[in-house]
Amino acid sequence: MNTTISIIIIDDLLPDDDPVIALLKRDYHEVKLIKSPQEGIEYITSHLSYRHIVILDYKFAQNEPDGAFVLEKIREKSKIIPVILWTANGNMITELESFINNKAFAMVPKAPYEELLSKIKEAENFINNSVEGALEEWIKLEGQESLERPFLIAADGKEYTLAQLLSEIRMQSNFGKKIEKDLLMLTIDLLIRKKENLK
Amino acid sequence: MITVLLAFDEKDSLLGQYFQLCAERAAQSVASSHPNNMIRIGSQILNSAFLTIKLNEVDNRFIFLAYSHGSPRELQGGEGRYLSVDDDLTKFKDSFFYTFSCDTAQDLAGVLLSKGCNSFIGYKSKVYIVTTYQEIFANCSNFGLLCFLKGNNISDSFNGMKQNITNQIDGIYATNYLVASVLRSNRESLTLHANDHSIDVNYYYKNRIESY
Repeated sequence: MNTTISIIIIDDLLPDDDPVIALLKRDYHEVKLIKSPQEGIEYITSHLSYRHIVILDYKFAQNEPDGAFVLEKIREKSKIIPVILWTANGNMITELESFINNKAFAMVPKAPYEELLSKIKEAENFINNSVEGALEEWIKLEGQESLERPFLIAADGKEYTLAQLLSEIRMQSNFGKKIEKDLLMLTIDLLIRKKENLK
Repeated sequence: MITVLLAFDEKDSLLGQYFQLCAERAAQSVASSHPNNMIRIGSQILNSAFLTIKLNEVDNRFIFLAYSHGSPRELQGGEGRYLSVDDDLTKFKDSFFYTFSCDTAQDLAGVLLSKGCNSFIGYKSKVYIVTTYQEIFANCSNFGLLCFLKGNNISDSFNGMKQNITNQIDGIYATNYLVASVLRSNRESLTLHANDHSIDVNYYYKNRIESY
């Protein structure tokens, strides 16, 4: 296991001992199966300082919100968490536009698993190559205990821990975008002044 | 002798320690380089009424240092704003205004200069410090003042301040990219407004000999 990424599966029918769970547990820090869409939304939106890939079922039991609603709620809090939509064979996706608008990372069939595993790997690369991924690598060097300590204070009176910085980036809030922009601007600054080269 | 008004909000719950660190360093730098009349205005008396009294006690041509929260139109202490664009700012005629506070270069600086303040060094947007790197950030916050006290003119002091931040970035980015990015952001926010860029610390000496 070489990743701190957690896999969150939101699916009301998947058994706890489904082989895909055992398969994913070999490669990922945590594999969490959440059977209620509402609980899934709550879990993800309250754990924004962690790295997740979400596998989301499309159809839930009657009276439960559907996948489109869950994705929309996740996107209200985070624009960048990869959400892979998982559909049973033959399911007609009637809300394709909603999934595209809310930037589903991919749509894959429930069986066989190969396509799902391949898309999870793509999502992992996406996270590792993002600003949040780079930031998390640096936090690892600082020590995980630094995550909840006050880190940044603005002279207008706002205080942020590293965990909050990560959450802001994942939410793509104005402040999260500013942090991303500042990191990119520093890179440009170092390149222009020839302190660093593109290798 | 130079006159310095030093306003700082050391009781602020988040940044009080930092404001105090910067203010103490600034006071030390002034004391070690120039005979001075230093008027310290800490949190307990950091309000508009007290500042007005002190401004009326000093002649023009003083250096005003402020380490506190700010917004585009005002400086703020624990009791609320202590200096704003709506106040009588004519007392700042000929002064050198130097501040670590958010946003005050947006509006306050322009109004100060329109009332005769000679120069303003401050920030046009939010400025940040990283809690575990306060020494570096305090060094960057005060470097322009240090340059000025050493005899550099306003323009060179400002450029020296920017160059010092660049040097700090270069010294830290390899080990701490995030901190370096915050320093760069503060450097971008740093702003100089001046009516006369050539003025140096000698201009603020009482009994100085005018040259024509």
